[in-house]
Amino acid sequence: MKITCIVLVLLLLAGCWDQRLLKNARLIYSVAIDLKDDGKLFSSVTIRSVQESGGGQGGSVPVNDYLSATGNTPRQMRQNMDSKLSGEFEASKNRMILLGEKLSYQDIYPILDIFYRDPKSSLGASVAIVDGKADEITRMKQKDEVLIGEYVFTLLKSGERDTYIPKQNVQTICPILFDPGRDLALPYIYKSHSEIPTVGIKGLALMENHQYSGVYLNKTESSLMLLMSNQKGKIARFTKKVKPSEKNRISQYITIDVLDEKAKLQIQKTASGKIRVHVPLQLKVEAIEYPIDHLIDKKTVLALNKKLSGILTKDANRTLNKMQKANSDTLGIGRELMAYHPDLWNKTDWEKDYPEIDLSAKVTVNIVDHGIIN
Amino acid sequence: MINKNDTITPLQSSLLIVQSQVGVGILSLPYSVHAIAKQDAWLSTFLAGFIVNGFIWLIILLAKRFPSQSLFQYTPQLFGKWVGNSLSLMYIIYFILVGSLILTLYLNVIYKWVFDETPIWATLLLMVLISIYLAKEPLRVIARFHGFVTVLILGLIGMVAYSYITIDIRYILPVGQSGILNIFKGSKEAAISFLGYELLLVVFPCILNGRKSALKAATYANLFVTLLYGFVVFTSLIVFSPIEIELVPEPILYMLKAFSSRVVDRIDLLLLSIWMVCVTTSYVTYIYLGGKGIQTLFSLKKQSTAVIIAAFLTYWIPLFLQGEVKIAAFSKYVSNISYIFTIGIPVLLLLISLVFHRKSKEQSL
Repeated sequence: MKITCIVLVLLLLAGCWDQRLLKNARLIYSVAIDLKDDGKLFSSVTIRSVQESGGGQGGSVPVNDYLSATGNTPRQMRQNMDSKLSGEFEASKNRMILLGEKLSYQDIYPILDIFYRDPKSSLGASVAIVDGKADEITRMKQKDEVLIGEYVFTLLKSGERDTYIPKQNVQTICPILFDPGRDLALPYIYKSHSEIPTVGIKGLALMENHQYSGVYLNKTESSLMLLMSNQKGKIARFTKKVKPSEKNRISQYITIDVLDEKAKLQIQKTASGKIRVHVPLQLKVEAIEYPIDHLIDKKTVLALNKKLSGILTKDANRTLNKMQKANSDTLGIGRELMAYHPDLWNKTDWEKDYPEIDLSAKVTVNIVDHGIIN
Repeated sequence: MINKNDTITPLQSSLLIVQSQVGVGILSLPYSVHAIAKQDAWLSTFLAGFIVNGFIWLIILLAKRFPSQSLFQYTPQLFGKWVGNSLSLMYIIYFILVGSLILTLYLNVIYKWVFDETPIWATLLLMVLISIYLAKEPLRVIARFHGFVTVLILGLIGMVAYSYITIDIRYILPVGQSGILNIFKGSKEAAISFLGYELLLVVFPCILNGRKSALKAATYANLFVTLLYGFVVFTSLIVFSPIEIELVPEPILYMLKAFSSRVVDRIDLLLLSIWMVCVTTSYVTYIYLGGKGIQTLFSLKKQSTAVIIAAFLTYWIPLFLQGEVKIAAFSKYVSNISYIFTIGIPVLLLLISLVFHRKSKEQSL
């Protein structure tokens, strides 16, 4: 009885129905999607395959293949790509989804649908909007021996570390996409057409609901926006001109690292019924480059604090202005209203009222550290 | 009267209840409660736990009047042979239906999330075979196994806690926005996930010193499950934004799908394997209960024969229940009749035994 039972169970445990062999799979690491002029979608991927080298060394050389397809939907493009490919098209290890700028002016949720729907897909992938065509980045195939998908992925990871872009992936953007009180900011990247082509971060593309608003924040503005929503990465660094009177150009500037940020949304209703939101942002910073020195002198430090606070407040207000112009509530003020001022929220039409609210920021900088010299 | 191997300590009975309660429902609990109570689903869950504790108290009050007999043994005493035995039969059918429901929901998740190519009879057979292997043992062995795998629930809590990287507490504010009525309605939806405590109807006489300790043991078990469910629902509510959660039927799995660590790429699959154990333990409980009923009703000598019959009966229903609509209807049906069996009939029995001063004979000695 026992033996029969064991044999029966062992036979069933072989699990040969749902096996997916790695040798049959063609793994993709990044996918770029563009909108063609005729309204169809165009998608391209790079696939790494390993070829035996002819050198007699017995080693193998990785080769990056470029593959593209057109279709009406992302699923159809995958189907078309699979038909051009030996082996299974396998997207479960996908790390990067690059959207062309033209495409991102449309609702982006339908494009992401297959990533959410398929149980095998990896929700840890990053999403970015490309200035121009996303395909141009895929066409590079590789950068410094690294597959381009992985390269862009690590680029974004270091962008997160430097507080240029928020920490996010396909899954974590989903709650924001469906939140009427908050908008999304996606990394905005570009390919430079210089002699040695590179890919870099341009800043953050501000989304209006599900589509790109056409306005993006540059890197300084992105950092300030993230600091205002308490989302500092590992490093947040600003270089600012504080001594225009100095002769030496380098000496005119100071570079600071933010050690600690504290931001709050102060929401008020004015007498005329308008919503007023003020964002006080307090920064504790370390001076990491300042050739004029004397950062031990209290007066110098206070003067610098004041100067920096003024400059950053101006930058922060410009950032908020841009966000209002784009009608992109990336700070989640609407969500804050819903949670803490539900009466106020019920009375507003956020889509229409957000650009009109009285939104301002004040940055207070406090230099608390200056490295190992004064 | 009761075999020594069939007795369990109060702690073991606690863990037995925990493992029978925590099961297939935990994955979709936040989704189904949110569908009604919206952002106050976590309040509904705590409320459901509180109400269920009342049910437990009533069941134990009834069981205390027949401290050395199971439900299947004292119903004939209360009502006479015919009515009593048909009541037993109804309970057997109920236990088998819940067992089938567990299998159906289990299969649905497994099919959707991992094994979409594997034929369902095979997935089912594996589950049923190993469950029979455990359920044919004396209660003490089952309770020990259930107690042992409770450690895994700590792993489950740890994994769910992992998602606290990306939360927004503002999603549940302001508290109480959906209104008291909806919170109560939501707790009705949550209550089905608490099923499992009705095992006390059958198992009570096996608990050592049950008259004193059973209520405490069951209350602690229910408290633990309530806190666990509350935690899970609360977490899902602050991870997913209100509109998004309506799209995700298994929020607990879904929210872990986004995270990958250096060692484990897909934490959701790891959670799924812990969940499978929780499902197995609840299923084992129900085929054990069904089997016990069959054994008593038909005076079978061997428990294993009865358990195999019960398991065999649960096996067929999921095979014919395909498609979300049918599954939802079946689930609704079972959850509705569960109120009759977990609270309706026990209260009726309690009243009858109080009015007619029926107690088991030994107690009056």
